[in-house]
Amino acid sequence: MIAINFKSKKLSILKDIFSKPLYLAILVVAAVLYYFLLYTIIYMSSFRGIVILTVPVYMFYLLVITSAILITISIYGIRKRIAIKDATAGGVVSVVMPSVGGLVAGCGCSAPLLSSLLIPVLGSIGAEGILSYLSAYNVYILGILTVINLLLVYYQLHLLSR
Amino acid sequence: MFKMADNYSSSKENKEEIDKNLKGNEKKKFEINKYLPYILIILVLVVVIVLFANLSSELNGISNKLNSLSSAKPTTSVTPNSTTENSTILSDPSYNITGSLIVPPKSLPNDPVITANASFGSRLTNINQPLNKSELALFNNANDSYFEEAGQMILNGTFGGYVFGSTVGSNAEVKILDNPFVVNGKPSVIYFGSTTCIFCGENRWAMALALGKFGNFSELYKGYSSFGDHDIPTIYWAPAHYNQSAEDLGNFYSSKYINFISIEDDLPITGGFQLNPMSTIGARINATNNSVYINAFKFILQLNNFQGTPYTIWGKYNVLGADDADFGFKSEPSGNPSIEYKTHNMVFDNISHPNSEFGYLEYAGADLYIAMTCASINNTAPICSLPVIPKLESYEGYN
Repeated sequence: MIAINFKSKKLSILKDIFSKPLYLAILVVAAVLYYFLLYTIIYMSSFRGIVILTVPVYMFYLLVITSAILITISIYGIRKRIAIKDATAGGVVSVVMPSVGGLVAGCGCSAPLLSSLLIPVLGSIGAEGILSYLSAYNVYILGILTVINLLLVYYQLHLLSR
Repeated sequence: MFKMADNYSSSKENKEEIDKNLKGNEKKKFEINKYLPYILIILVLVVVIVLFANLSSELNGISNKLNSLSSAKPTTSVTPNSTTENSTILSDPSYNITGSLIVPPKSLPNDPVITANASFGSRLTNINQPLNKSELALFNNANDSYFEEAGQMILNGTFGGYVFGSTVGSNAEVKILDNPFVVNGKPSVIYFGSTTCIFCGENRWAMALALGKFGNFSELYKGYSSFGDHDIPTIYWAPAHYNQSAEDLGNFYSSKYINFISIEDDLPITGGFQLNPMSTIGARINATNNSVYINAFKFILQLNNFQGTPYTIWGKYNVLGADDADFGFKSEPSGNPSIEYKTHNMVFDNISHPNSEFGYLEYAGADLYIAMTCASINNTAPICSLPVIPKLESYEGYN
């Protein structure tokens, strides 16, 4: 009974947030912004700006949507003055997740952005080793980033439902 | 008394003013606090955008400088059959060796030809099937007029940003070496790529067209890039170990002008792009005991500028990546290259009669490789006298 109550309280907060035009507008704007952020980073991470997506397209959109939901709930929490620090952190994470996802969602055979980050530290051969592993597991990495978003959404709803 | 009243009223006014200011300041402080989280989030967003916008070019510049510093370090000169290495100060490694090149097997029992049809994106139909005579002729006897036309299109800027052959600038696609890798008295074309890699898959078409103008392929094989890298149709230099982790070394190319040294890394083609660790690749090459391939790989490592596949050296010109990249993607959904939806026969047709962006771009990519090779062999091959080739040599800074 208690579990059901907690569940329905989180759901009712979600309903409260997304039934308001303001937060729906924030969700849409955030989704558009994050789409362009993710796409731009993939573009910059690709050989000569040629975008070759090596993860399923639905994972690309999942990451965008979950980041947008996370920031919308964070903004709700900030406006309601509930758990402001956690809400702010959630908002920051929602920006970081698509940024990281963009680094691995393109073709790993040539990743100039990551190469530039890794070569000065590891040398060209060492950098290529890491790039290769990131490329091999890029679908899992994007999955983990999406799950982190979802966990933070759940956590924020938990704080808001107290 | 009046003075006291005056003093009292002015101090009261002062107090009211002070209270008003305090409340105003509190209101201001409260508003800043209210918007601080938003400011922080927007700040992070702006920092991320600016960081990534500048990071690539700045760090590319730094890593290029570091690479040029490290490749300017003294290296040793290797002379054939010497028992001691001579210590000579050189800016780039210098190799002038003799030896035989690896000739690979014509079939692999564990990686047979697949005849079954399948849907695009997860298709291995005809993988490792040798090209027939007429298909080989597309590369061995390609029409010079197509190279001329495509070369003019490069000079006219028709291809926009899809041909990459410049030697100029800190972000140049092509590095000029002091010395080519010489084997048996001839400069070499060295290829290091992966069967799993989409850019290698696309670029081999252009490479084969270029190499066909300096020599002859007796065998080429149908292939694909990995499923995770869009499963595009391509050609292989030799039958590929597409089911396992291995190296495909050697090819069936011969030329009186150049050597062709090919190192193709393999991992299961049903996965995504992945490269074996360099130490593993090096160990497998060392296990062949072939001095040409062992020294070629050493040469690549000594140049210390590997940034991804395909990685090629055309005589004195080191190309850091593909020199053209056409996946015909303009008319396809974002991220899905249209070449993924073509069969080998469709691509052969495109190459034999280039009437599309893809066809002409492959000839354009081939033109740049031809220009680099011609510049390395003092224009001694017949193709070097094609009118557009010396213009491209000048245009791209190859002479």
